[in-house]
Amino acid sequence: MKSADGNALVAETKTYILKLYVAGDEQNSRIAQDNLTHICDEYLKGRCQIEKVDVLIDFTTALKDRIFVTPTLVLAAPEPRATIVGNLGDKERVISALRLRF
Amino acid sequence: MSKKHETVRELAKAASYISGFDEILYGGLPEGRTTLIEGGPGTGKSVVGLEFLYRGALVDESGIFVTFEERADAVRRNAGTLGWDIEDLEKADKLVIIEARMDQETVVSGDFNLKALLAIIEGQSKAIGAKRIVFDALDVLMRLFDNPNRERSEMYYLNEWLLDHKMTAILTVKASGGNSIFERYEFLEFMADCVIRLIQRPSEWVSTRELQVIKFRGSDFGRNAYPFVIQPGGISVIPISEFGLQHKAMGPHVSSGNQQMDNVLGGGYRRGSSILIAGSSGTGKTTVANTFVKAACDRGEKVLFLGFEESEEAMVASMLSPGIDLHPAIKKGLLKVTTAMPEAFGTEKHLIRTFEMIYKFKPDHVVVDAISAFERMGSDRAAFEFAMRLSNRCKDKGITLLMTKQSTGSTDDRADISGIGISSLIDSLLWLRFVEEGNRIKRKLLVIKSRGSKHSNQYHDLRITDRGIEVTDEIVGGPPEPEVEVRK
Repeated sequence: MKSADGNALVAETKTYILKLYVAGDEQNSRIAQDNLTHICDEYLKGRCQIEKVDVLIDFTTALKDRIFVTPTLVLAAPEPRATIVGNLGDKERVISALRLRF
Repeated sequence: MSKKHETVRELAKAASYISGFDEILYGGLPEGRTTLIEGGPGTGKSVVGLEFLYRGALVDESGIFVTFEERADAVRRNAGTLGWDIEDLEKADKLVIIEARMDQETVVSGDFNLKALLAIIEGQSKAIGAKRIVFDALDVLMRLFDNPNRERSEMYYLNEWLLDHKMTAILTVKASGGNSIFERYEFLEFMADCVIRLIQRPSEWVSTRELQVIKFRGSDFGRNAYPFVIQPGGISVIPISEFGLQHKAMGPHVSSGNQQMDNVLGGGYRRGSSILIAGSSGTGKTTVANTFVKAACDRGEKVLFLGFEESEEAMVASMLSPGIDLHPAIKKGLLKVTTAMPEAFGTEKHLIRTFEMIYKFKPDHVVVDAISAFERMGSDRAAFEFAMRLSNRCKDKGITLLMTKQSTGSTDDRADISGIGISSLIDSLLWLRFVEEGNRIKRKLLVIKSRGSKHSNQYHDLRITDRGIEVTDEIVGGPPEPEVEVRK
């Protein structure tokens, strides 16, 4: 399987567990959700679990996971863990941080 | 509606309970508003913040310490070295530490904000009813934005949030090394209602910490750079008098403890004045000082004796041979003798200890034996600073300050006395010296100056007997004697 730009994908058989921390429906959080949906559709179709945490409702999880800015995307599995902050607008950085490309 | 704005309201202050700090803040930090503390690395910013929360927690004002740089464990350890048990306060829900250090590996992709942090703080704040909050090393957080405009808008957002939540806040930010904050963070000075700068400058041997309030919106404040120390127990700021050396007039005469000497002095010392007794080793400085101490205590007045030369036992015992028994005064609690080695701590710490004793003991007179011991700390300035600040404090409180100073005994004695730079602080200056007469060595006393008294300007014999001191008090008439020729 090749990605759109022809590079081989890593961990292509593994399921990605992603946690997206948002602050209600404020703008950056909404943009991040949209961007993440697109990235998953493109690179992780069918093997991607997204858990959404609204820090305005559940601050204890944010504290436990040491999340201080929103939005934040955490790659929980496969190891190693990766943390990406921001609305995920810079797609190249996101897919690189998620190790979706060499 | 507009009437409301015309009413001048007293700005509410939140006491820091940090020793000496509230005095220069005229009551404390602006309550429910933001204070910026800036300073180079190691200047004590975090300690000020932490003590503000610690002291608050002790009086049931809960607080939150948000650390962007240090680990929570390191914060607890630092508190421990100052003797603060903050873990107990954490257990009692009086203090919460939020370790908000970002993972170094964090990747930034697009815009973000601090809502998660604020949600956490809001949650914790509700849980413990926090009134105080400290954001320690805010610069570390701001750097994450990597964009001056975003930094600014998020900090203003944070400030608004703090105001909405009526939290008394301290933000600490590292200055660029010198005295001033990074230009990029200058807006924080405009944003905050109160700005405090911490400075650490190495003086000759003793490093000196200073604290200066740069601005305080809606309030007056002490405008000097005030020295402070960090010691077990916490911070102590020394609120030196803002009026420099302008003090109230000297008080009435008070006996030196010896009638003849009073005659030579033109009536005795003046209450609330500064007296310096200089002379080489063995000339009787401590004996003359204790003659005054004994007489004061006999009148029921309180004396604080700060010994920097010998132990209390040694000093008290040595005074028995000239017939000065200080034991009864000590027993009655009229005389308090404390001794310390000048080298034991820096000048500031000696001052703080002394000021605390003055505050608690409320002496009528303070004796320092000998101020010259401070020269051993490696700089004349240490002796001068100690004498200057102590005499300042004593004058403010109307306390008589009597200091002894060992001079080298050389022909330059008098230059030596002024050399320390303190003679201008001194109201009465007595000089004791040995003079050869025939085949004998005699002790001589000369009053070089005594402000506000018609004193003798001649040399007088000073004898130390087993019943105290004796002074020949006849003053030869006619013009003042020329200066006694000194043997080469």
